[in-house]
Amino acid sequence: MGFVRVVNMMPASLSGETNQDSEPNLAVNPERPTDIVATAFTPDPAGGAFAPIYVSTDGGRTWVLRNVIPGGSMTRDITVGFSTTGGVLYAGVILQNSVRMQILRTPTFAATTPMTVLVNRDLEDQPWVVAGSVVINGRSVDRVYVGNRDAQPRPAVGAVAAVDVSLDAATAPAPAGFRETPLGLRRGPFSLPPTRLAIHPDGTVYAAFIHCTRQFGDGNNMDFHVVVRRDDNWGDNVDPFSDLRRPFQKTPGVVADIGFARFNDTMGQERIGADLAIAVDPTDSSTVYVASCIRGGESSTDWRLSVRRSTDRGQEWEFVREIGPTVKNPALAVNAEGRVGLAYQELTGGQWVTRLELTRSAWANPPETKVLHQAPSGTPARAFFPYIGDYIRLIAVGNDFYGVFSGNNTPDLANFPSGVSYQRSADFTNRVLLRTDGVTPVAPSIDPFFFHWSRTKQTETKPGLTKAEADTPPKSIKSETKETVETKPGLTKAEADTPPKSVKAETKELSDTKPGIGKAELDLPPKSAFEHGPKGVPHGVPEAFASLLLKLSQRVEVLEGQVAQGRAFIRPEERPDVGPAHDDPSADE
Amino acid sequence: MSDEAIIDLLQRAPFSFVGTIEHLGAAAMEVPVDDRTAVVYVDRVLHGPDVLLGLGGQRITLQLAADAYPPDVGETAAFFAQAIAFGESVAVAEVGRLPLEHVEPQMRLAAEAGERALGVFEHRVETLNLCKHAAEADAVVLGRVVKLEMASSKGAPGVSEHDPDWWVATLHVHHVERGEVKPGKVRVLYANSLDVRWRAAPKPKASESGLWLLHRPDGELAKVVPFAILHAEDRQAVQSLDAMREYWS
Repeated sequence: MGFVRVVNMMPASLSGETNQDSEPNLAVNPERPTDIVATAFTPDPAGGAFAPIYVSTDGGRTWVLRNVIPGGSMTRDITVGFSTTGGVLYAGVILQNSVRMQILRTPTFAATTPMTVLVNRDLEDQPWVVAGSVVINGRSVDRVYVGNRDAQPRPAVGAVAAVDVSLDAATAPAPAGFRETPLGLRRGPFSLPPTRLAIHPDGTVYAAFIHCTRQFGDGNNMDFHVVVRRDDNWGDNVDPFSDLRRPFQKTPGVVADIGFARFNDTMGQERIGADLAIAVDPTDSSTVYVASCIRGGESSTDWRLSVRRSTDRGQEWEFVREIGPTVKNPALAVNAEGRVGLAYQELTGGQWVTRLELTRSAWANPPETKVLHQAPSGTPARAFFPYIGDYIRLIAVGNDFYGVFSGNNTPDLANFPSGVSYQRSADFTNRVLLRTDGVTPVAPSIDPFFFHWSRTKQTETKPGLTKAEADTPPKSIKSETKETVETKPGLTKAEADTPPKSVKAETKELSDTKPGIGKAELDLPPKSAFEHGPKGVPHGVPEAFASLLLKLSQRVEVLEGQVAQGRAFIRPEERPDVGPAHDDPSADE
Repeated sequence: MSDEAIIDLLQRAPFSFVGTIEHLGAAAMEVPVDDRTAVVYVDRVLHGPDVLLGLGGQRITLQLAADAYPPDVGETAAFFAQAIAFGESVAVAEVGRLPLEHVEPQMRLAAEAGERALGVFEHRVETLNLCKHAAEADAVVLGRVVKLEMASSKGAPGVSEHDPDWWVATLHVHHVERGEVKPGKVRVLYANSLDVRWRAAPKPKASESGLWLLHRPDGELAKVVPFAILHAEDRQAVQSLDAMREYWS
C-alpha cells in the first residue's frame, strides 16, 4: 500500500479567484521529479498577453503561476512534457479563440521568459505532448511527440488523428525537426479529437486514437474503433507508425476496442464523447494498456470505462477492467515496478469522484484504490465546456505516480478522503474559501489539484492543512515516520529520510556482499534505459559503462532468482520482519 | 502629463499601483533576480482585475523596464505593469511609470467620489476599445431578436468538441447607424456552443433588444448568412451608441 498527497494548486496570492480552471495536464522532470509543470484553463489573472503555466520546484507541495505561453491571456487545449534528460519543457497549445496549434519549448521551465514557438499550424485540436531522450554519440537527444487531430482538407476524409514527431527537438531552431504523420487515414469519415502516445526507452512508440467508422442520426451518434499504431524505431521509420498491423492487412494499426458514442452528450454539467489513454510498461515494451469510454447503445445513457491490455506489442488485446456506469477522463501510467496506475473521474450519487487505482496484477486482484476527491457535481455552476476537463493526466517516474485533476474546490475535509493541502486561503472549519484578507468569503469554483502517490508516507498529506501548517511536521506524522524507520534495521537516519527507491536500495544491499562491483560504480547516476536502442543495445556509451550495465543486469537476474526463492524481497512490506501495512487487506499489491 | 499618457499606459498595462521601492536586486518571491528586480511596497492599487485589488499594503516584486531609469530605494511612483508570476506573492513587469504627482489629483477626486482611483480613465479606455471594435464592423444596427433557428448548414456535426454549433438569429432592425443594411429583418449567424472557445461569443435570446455590431463572415459561411456576431463585444447596450457617435465624430 502506498500513500497519496493531494494539493490544491491555486497559489495564495490568487485566493480570490473564481475561474473554471478545468482540463488540467502535467509534466514531471524525470531527472529531478521535484520539478513539475502543470496547466489548466487558467487565464493570466491580470489579463495580460501571456497565458500561465503552474510551476512547482518542491515536488508539488507549492505552486506558482508563470505567464510564459504566448498568444493571449489564456489558451484552449494545452498539454506539457519534459524530456528525460536535460530538463527541456515542451508544450502543445491551441490558441485562444482560434484553431491554431503551437508547439512550444523552453530550456528553463521555471523562468519567466516566454516559451519559443516551434510549430504554428491551423485546423488542429487536442495537442498531446509526450517527450523522451536518447543518447546518440554521447549526446542526449530529445524525442518529442505531439499527438493531435488534424482537420487540414484532404480528399475523401475528414479530420484525422496525427502525430508531430521531432527526433532532435532540444535546441534546433523552429520547427526543430517536427514533421507530421497522419495516423487516421483509414476507412471511416474522421478521427475523434484525442490522439494519445506512449513511448518506451527501447524506441517503441505507441499511438492510440479513436476513429469514427459510422456517423448517423443527427450526426452526433457514431460507431468507433480504438486504433493502436506502433513504431519500433522512435517514429523514424520510412513509413512511420506502421510496425503494427494484422496479417494480410494493408492498413497499419490494430483495433483494440470497438464502441459507440454520442458525441458532445452531457453527463451532469460535463460533456462526453471521446475518452482515451495509453501507457506502456517501462519494464517490457511488449506490454501496453489502453483505456477508453464507451456507451452501451443509442438508448443508453452510460459512459463506461474499459481497460484493455496487450502483452504482444499490440497484436491481441484482452479486457482487464471495466468501471461504470458514468465515468470519464481515464489516465494511465505504469511505474518502474510494472505497477499500473489508472486515474479517472466518476459521476455517482450526485458527486464527481476522482479515484486512483493501482494494480500489479492487471486487476486480477482487487486494486489499491485511493479516493482523491469527491464533491457535489452541481456546484459551482458551469461557465463553459469542459466543466472539469476533457482529460486529466497520470505520469509514472520511477516507482512514484504523479497526477492532476480538476474539481470543486470547496474546502471540506469530507471531499478529500486522502487528505489535502491548500495554498489559497481556506477555512476548513466553516468550509469556505477566503480572499487574501483572510476574511472575505469567496465562492467555490473549479481548481486544479495535484496528487503524488508513493510507497512512503508524505508528511504534507494531513487533511485541511494550509501550507504554513503543512510546513510544520505534526507530531503524529513524525511518529509514523519513526515507526517506519524503526522497522528497517540497519538504516541510518539520513538513509531513512531519503525516500527509498526500493528496488535500487535492495540491489545495493545485495551488491555490497558481492565482490566485483564497487560501491562507486553502483552509485553512478541511474542512466535511463532511454540510452538503449530498440534492441536494448547501448548507443554511444563507453564500453566500461556497457560492461557495468551487463553486470547490473546479471545482478538483477540473481536478485530475481532470490526473490522467487523467498530469499530477497522487492518490496519492503513483503519482508517478514516488516509485514504488510494494508489499508485494505484484499487490495492488490 | 496629459490624460492621454495615462490612457496609453492603461491600454498597455492591466495593472497599476502607487508603490515605494524598498530593495533593488531583490525579490519577494522565487523569480529570477537582476539589478532591475525590486521589492516594492504597494501603497495603493490604482487599477487592475479583481484578484489584484487586495495587494494594497503588501510587498510585491517589480521587474523594472530595461529602458527606464532605475528608481532609488525609497522613491515612490505610479507603476503600470503586466503580471509575470503569482505565488505566495506577486511579480509584475513594469510597462510604464508616472511621477506620483501626475496621478495624485485623479486619486483625490476618485476618493472623494468613492470611485476607483483611475476609474474615469478605465471607462474611457473601455469605450475607446469598444469604438475601435465597432469601427471594424460592417454594420452597426439597433434591433430586436425575432427568431432563433439552427443553421441549415452546420458542417460535419459532432466531429469536434470545439464545433461552434452554428445558429441563426433573425433581427428586426429598426435603426441602421452604419453599414449597408436596410431596416427590417436581417439574419445573423452566431455560435451557440458553450465550449471554451466560444464561451464569450454572443448568444442572442428571444426578444432581446440591443446594439449589434455585424461582421460579414468568411468563406462558406458567407453563403449561409450575410452577417455574423462572434466577438464578445458584438452585442452592446443601446446606450453605447452615444459613445460611438462621439468617437466617430
